[in-house]
Amino acid sequence: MTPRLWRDLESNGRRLSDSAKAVREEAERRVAAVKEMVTQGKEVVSGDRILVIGYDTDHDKHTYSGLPSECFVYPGDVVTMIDGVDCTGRFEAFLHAPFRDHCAGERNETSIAMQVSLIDGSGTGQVLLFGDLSHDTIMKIVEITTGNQHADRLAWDVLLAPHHCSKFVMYVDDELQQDVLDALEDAAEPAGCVVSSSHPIPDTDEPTANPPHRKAADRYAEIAAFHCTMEHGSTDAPTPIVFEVDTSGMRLLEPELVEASARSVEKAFTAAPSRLGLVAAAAARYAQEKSAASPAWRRTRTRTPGADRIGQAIIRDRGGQAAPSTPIGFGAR
Amino acid sequence: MSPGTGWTAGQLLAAEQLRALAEASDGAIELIGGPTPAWLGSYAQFDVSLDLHGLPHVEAGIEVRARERFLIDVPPQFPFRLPTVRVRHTRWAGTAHVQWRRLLCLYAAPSTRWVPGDGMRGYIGRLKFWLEKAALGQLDPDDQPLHPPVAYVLGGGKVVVRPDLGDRVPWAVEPGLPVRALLGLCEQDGDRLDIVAWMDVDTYKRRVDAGDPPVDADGIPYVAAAVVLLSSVIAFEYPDEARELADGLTAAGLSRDELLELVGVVAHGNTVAAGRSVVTPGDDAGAPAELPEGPGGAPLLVLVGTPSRRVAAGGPRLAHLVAWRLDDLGGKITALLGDVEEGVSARLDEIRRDVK
Repeated sequence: MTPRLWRDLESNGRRLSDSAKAVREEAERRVAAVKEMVTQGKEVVSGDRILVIGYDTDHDKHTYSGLPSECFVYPGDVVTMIDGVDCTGRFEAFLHAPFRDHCAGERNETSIAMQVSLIDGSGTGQVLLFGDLSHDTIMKIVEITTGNQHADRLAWDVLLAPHHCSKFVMYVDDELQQDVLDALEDAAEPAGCVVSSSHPIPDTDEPTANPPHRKAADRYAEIAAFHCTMEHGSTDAPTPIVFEVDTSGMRLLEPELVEASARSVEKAFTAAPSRLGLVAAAAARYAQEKSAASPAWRRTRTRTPGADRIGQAIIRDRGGQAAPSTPIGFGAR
Repeated sequence: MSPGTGWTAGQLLAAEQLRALAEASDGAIELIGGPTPAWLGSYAQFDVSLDLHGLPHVEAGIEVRARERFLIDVPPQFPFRLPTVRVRHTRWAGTAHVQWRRLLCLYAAPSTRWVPGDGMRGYIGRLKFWLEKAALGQLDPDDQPLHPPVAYVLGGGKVVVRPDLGDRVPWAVEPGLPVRALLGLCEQDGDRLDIVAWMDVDTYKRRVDAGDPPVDADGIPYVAAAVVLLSSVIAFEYPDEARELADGLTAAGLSRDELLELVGVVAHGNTVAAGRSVVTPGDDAGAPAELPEGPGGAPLLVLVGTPSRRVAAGGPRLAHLVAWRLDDLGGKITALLGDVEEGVSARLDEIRRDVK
């Protein structure tokens, strides 16, 4: 959770959605549970843990202020614990944001931003997550990180397109901001993928439409391979986008491998079914079932190939197949 | 410079044509920006994105993403002069027909291929064609003339090659040789050298050692030029530094020692032919003085020949020659000599002593 959750909770006149209310209630329950366990001198159990990420100038005014120090992490910190399990050498999350200056700002700009590294021996997969951040905050992260000589903390094999593929990452007042595209491309690993967790990308952008935006998807497609969760496989029966990390690095799994991987994940965690293992096995099983339900996964391209579309546009605009044969300029009659 | 004020009618025409194309393309062609001032003085730059998803691709071809951005620079004289096109990235650097790492060479013969009346429609169409061929690794098909490696002329005099190389090229030999060294015999007129004959290295060395360097009909000694013929291409763009050239030749099969010996033979031969020493008095600090010319008062040349134009599919390839003039000879030969141990070659040691 970010401290912003409590600001939203206590701000007057702001209407929260049902899901936001549910998250808020769960956060409050966990805060109370942790405090109770600490009071009783007991260890906090899985399901009750909570991590507050980022600063707030109103820190002392909120209910979480009495939590023990291990419940707080800040930009620049590295997290290696998942639900009480030390995953050093296998997992780490480097926190980029939220910034202290944004604690009372636009809600989207208080999103958690982090680089998640999944490690298997000599292989590492890096995922860059910017939440719902837009251009200015992302560039602030880039400038601070590179200024601190930590450009490696921006590297990504997978970039989750911020704010469900919003154009406001790279457009400000409808002007393209090349700086953020250059920064993202510079940080991309050679086989980097951008994933848009969103509805299918529209053919065109309506002026006030919510994300995903076509313009953003197109700009991402120019710097890396681009995948949309609700288009993967097909828009009718999308299948999970599954990446694998092994000693050679990270890669997008072909669907036929998903099933095999799912089996191995289930097998790996069946022997010692920790909470984390059960979550991983459930995710793997879901991926397996979705893949099996979409036998036509192999993408049958319904879109006309780009080169053909370009050729058709030229013919339409020119009014014919061939270039004009009438001379122009000097010598033309 | 701003649209409507500083742009020429031709550049505004290009802008209008690109806008019309974008409107007709349903997103396949997007005009992201422009016209804006381009890197080339009065050129107008247009930032264009093309939908290229689904482009057939082979391993040997360039990797083309689902969309690609292009910077198209339109000259003031458009459409009577054609635009140039660049990419922001360097992923295609080293590919044939990609110059300066980013500039795409779309037309081998613009005078016959570029149609001014088709304007940007033809240009975008040509760019699409180039990308399709590049993705399939077919920019140099078997039945078409080969585009020679690109050499950027930086001055350094003139070289005129008069005789054919004929079957001296290593790719004419079965089985093919990776490399062959020989000498060009030149007539010198100021900074112009005319190669009038070829001679193998051993024959030339014997003549020089015997005090009988090759001479023309009037008894004037020829200037020798080093010639390295390769069966492969070092790169699509040739380097302009001696060390990079040496690295490229090494990779192509001519060792650094062999190159140095070849250059040494030429330097020694030209010195002998001119009847004077290469040594020029240095200054008090012992630093080598800068030589106004190469050894013997002649430019020291290294010509590199690579297989190029075909006459017909499957036919023999003719050689394409590019000449490097090693200008600050003292420094460069000294640098090269530093990389080679003494005793490798008596001739080399002799040159080393002369230069040092």
